[in-house]
Amino acid sequence: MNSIGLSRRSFLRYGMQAGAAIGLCSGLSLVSVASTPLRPPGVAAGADMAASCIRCGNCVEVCPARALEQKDISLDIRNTGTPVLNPNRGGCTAWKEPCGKCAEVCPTGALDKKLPLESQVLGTASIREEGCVNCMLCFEKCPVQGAVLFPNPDGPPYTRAYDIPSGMKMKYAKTKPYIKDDRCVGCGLCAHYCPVKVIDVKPV
Amino acid sequence: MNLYIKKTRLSIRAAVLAGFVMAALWGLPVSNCSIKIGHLRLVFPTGFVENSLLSHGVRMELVPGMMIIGLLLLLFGRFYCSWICSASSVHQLAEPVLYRPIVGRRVPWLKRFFLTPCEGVSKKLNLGYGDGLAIFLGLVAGVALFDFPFFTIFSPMGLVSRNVIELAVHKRLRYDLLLLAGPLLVGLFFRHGWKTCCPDGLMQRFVASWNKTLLPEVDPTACNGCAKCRRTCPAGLLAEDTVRLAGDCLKCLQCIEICPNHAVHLRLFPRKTRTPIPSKLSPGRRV
Repeated sequence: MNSIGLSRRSFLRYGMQAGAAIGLCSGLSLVSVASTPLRPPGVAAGADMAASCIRCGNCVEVCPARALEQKDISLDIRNTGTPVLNPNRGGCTAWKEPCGKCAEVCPTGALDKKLPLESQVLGTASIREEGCVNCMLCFEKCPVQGAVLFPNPDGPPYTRAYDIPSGMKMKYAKTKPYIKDDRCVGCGLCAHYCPVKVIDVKPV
Repeated sequence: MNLYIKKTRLSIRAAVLAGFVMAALWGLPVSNCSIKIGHLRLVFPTGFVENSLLSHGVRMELVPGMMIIGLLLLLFGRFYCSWICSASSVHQLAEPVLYRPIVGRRVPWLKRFFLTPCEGVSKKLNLGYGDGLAIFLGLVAGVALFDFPFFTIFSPMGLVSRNVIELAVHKRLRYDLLLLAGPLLVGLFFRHGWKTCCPDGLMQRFVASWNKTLLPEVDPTACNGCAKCRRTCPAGLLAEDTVRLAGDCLKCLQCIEICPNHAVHLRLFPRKTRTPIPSKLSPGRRV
């Protein structure tokens, strides 16, 4: 100890400070509750975003739809500051027209631009029928063909809004649109444009 | 000689912050923690270290940017800390509010229940660079052991940058701005404030200690040893010591501005000089 110019007293002091710092990290990681928020495209399935992201916010800046935000403080302390897709702010337009800007500016590769869009699913949207007013905006805004469907009593479900007989899409009609789970990519556009906010997007 | 160095620094840092707001409004990939120019990615050294620790490997695309940051530190020293860093400008703005006697006179309860105890504790603890380094190394160990991204969550620069982006993009402030109080409070208990405990500054200090250029040089014939330079220096250095302790010098140029005898000059290749120190001046603690 004395060879590097540290007295026993200061060695103890530095050791206690370092120990307190380690304790702070362990305490915070113990308190943190893991959650799976809705992520922008480019995150590989099962990837630990909290580890690879440096929370610089470049993806939030460049998102043309302004749909991304950095996760605010919550019980999931570990993920604070990582990018999440918030359908209340906007939906990901990557399936409508080629975008990939968030992955392009990511400095650490936490958002991978080499990941093909076709293989990715961000989440699954679902419509709560009780509040739906049959406005058909989700039909119009959905970028994926055949993800939002309308039940047809005599035949395959309708995939286009103008095919539906007007009597069935009245405000108080019993029939409501529904979302096919295996077609939905979870871009959040339907949830963003829904005027009565009855669409929830559940992350995968 | 009145150069208005302090005001210039504040306005440059305010302009940098305003620049980030504009960048966020125009959707440019420029935030204060990370800048991408072409294929070059510049991130904070602390962010680089933490990312390497957490992803168990070095991201090769970040290495060229890190080398450029190292080169800048070797050539210019820690100019980032006093000319660009918005967190240090927050601290510079908070410092007079917290320490000036005006506040004490106007808000006596603040002085009595917060400022005086804080000052007492900080005098008793006498925390310096060594303690900052110990805490930093402990945090690095904690990050590696518990996979908890401490630096990027609590970094004051990151907090300022995140809120600037959120303000520009979504027109609102984030709740995690409250976390900024943590680093500011920690800085209060260090002898030279946030400058001594900033983890990024500590990393820059390692590299900048080899910096030999663009440092203040003292003219020994003109210096009368009044030590005003040490009083104004954010790191508490005499102007003559900056050549020896280049890692501590923040290149704020305040010593040049304040010297009543114009004995301090900025030199490209400064020489080590000894100034006559009169006996009335108590020897400063050399860090």
